[in-house]
Amino acid sequence: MSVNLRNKVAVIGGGLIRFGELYDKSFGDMMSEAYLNCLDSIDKGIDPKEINAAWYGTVRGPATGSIAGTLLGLGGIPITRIENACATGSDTFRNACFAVAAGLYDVALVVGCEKMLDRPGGLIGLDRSGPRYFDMFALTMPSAFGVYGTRHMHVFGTERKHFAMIAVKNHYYGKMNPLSHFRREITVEQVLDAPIISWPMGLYDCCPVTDGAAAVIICREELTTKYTDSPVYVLGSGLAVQPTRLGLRNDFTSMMPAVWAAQQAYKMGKVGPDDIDFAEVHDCFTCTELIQYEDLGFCKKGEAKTFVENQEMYIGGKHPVNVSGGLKSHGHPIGTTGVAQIVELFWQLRNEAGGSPKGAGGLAVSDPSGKRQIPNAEIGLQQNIGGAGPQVSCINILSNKKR
Amino acid sequence: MATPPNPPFWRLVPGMHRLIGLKCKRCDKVNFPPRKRMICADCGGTEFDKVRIGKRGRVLTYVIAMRMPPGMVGPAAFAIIDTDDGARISAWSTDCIPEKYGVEEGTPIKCDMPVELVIRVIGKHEPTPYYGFKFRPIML
Amino acid sequence: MVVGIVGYGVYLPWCRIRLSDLAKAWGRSFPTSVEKTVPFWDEDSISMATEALQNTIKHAGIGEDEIDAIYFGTTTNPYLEIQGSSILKTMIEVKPETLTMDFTNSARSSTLAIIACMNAVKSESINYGLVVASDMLIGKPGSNVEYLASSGAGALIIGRENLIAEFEGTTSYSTEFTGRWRGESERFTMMTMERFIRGHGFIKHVATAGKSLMEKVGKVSGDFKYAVFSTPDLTYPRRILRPLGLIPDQIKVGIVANSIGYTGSSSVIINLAAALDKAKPGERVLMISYANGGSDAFSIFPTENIEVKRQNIVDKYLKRKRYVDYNTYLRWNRIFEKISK
Repeated sequence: MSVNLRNKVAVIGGGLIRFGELYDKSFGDMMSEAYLNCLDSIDKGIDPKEINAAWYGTVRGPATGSIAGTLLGLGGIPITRIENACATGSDTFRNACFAVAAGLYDVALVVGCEKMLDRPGGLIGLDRSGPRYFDMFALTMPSAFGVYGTRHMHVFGTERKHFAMIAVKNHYYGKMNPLSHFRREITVEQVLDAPIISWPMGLYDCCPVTDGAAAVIICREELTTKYTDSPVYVLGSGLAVQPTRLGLRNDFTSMMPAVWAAQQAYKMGKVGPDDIDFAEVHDCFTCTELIQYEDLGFCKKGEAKTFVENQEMYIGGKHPVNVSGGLKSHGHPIGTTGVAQIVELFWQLRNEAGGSPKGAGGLAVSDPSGKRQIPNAEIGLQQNIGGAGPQVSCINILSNKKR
Repeated sequence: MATPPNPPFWRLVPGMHRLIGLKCKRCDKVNFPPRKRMICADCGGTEFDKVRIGKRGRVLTYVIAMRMPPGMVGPAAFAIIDTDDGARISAWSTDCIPEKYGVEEGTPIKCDMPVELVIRVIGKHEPTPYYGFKFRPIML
Repeated sequence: MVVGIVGYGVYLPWCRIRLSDLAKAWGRSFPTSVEKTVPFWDEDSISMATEALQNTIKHAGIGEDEIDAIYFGTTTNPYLEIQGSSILKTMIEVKPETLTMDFTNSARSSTLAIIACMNAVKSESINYGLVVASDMLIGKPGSNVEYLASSGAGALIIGRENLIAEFEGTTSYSTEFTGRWRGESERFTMMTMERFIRGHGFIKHVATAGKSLMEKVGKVSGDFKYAVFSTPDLTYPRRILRPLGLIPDQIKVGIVANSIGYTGSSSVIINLAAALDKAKPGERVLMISYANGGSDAFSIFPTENIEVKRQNIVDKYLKRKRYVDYNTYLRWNRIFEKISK
């Protein structure tokens, strides 16, 4: 490739709203709140007219960027709508970065918004995966991911309790995060005793149905000093897909799109798994997060259960993962999640995750102990994976220093 | 043909009812279901031999879904099956009641268990049925 | 011109329900049978017929594309206006020219289909014909019909070569007689008095058809090793012994009804399969069906080939069973949906 993304784009602001069952807020309310929080979060201030272009990510929201133009007062600028199932948020960010890195726009807005609870059901069924294939009829998300969990258990001896430990960790950190959907701790026994949805996934192995919105502003790295003294640089990005049809996939102990996207992102950023200080990983189901420890290279293939037993994914371990609460506790408004993960990375890399960063709209993002801040974080990774099962994955790597 | 009267189902019926796969001439991978213009998922090849996928195989991986949509009766297992002649298919279970935790009369489903494929009513385009294949533990 | 059976097969569902469980639910016993099959919630006549015909084709050892016509006999076609046999045609790789014919409206449709197929094969307009019979009978809860209404499928391939058994002759006898019936928009089969059906329906027509068959082929009752009938329950074949001059040993093998109930049009085929499973070359079989005032009688003569292609298919499906309770039976058969409409 003749142009590299590394170090060319910086995130200068990030705004997030509290996730949850927000029946009293409309799609527009949420998007506007996240956008205004994001404008507030720019250290040296910004005039909205300086935003040259916007990328709007949603899965079930209104179809075109016109809604963003209406709600956010962004008349006249190009607004692209991105949709890529669960990978929407990261892919929206990635596409905005391309345009800014290419020099076409100076400052761009990335906004993700999802209203899942205006009608029942969430995205449990695979109703959007195409015509009802006879052999995938009535397949649900827990089943589509659960098959990986079963095979992993069979080949490597992983047990349901390892999955449960991941849910426990995410709730432990979610309790500390006022923006999180769920804010209570759970135990391994509670997870194992919960009703089974799609064995091996039980009720507490699955992420909730959440409403939420998030927004991020990026600019070209030469222009960051105008807006902030501590920008967060984009090091690398990756995206990959695998066949929709389960029978055409070759591996059921690895989610290959994540493996390939990670390889791309590491190569672009000239970093390796050991350089990643912390990660926000797509734990739509606990088995997904466990397999990501291996797919992203944080531990060797088959050793995820040991990684979990040794608590290496807590702060203080080798690679803290999902200290925001993850999708399990913080919530999973599908199109928003990737952007929200970027905001979490932004706060962690600027040492703001232990207090009340301006992008949280007046709320703290940690409990008074401030324990949610990862000490000396320099490089963070965010990852989404999804579709009808793990079909597409998108990864972005950010750092608070140029590399 | 007894299918919901719309083109996507009508196109799929021969492959689904008769388990027709397309074996890539270049890399031997069996692509399923067949399409009129098929490109091999592994190697990108475009030449194929038509094969009838065998009805016996082993479970590669599975889940046990406890709640099913209306019209279907749970619990049922959904499995990815490697057939004896090298194809890989996914299917729901039938003629067994998969339970994993302490219910005496259940039929345990395991990885590597031998199974066979049978035709059953997959769904109803109310009130007319349409058919597809499911798997069941091999009968004696 | 000799016409006969090239191969045969059956299919029976996995689950059973004991008639004593039904008796407990309704407070009334039914001592003339023991248990019946319960189809799984995702089965219907077509899915059962598919497996029966797959077993038959495998047994016959002919290619799927050698079948020239498919005859489907049933009283429970899923559609009123789409041929069940055209659906069955999509299940196997037959030629587009293969004929599909549905024989419906009577539990005798299986043997009527056999007669039609025999005639087509004899006249050499087709080489191999596939006759499939499949029924999924449901009785109204609490009725007499419910005790026996059951499900199963059977199939034969009829041809002129590689026969395991020859058709020596066939006769029919029918009059206007209503025993069981189901109106156009009704969901459940009704029936009139049991003894009336058995005496003036079953015994009269079966005996007449049987006697005229024996006259036609020049045999007496002692020349048959086995006799099989459509058997709603155990009393039917017992009552036909004297009128036809048979002894209990001749009917024993061909009674599967105590294990599987009354499977409608496939009843006589499954009983025939049970007899052919055991019949040695030369052990002649008498087959007589009965339904709504009509009987078709056949004399079937196993050849040497039956030993070569020996199978024990009826036992295989009888052995595979699991008992379910009445609640599960009602739920799987969607009885409440049927009643509430």
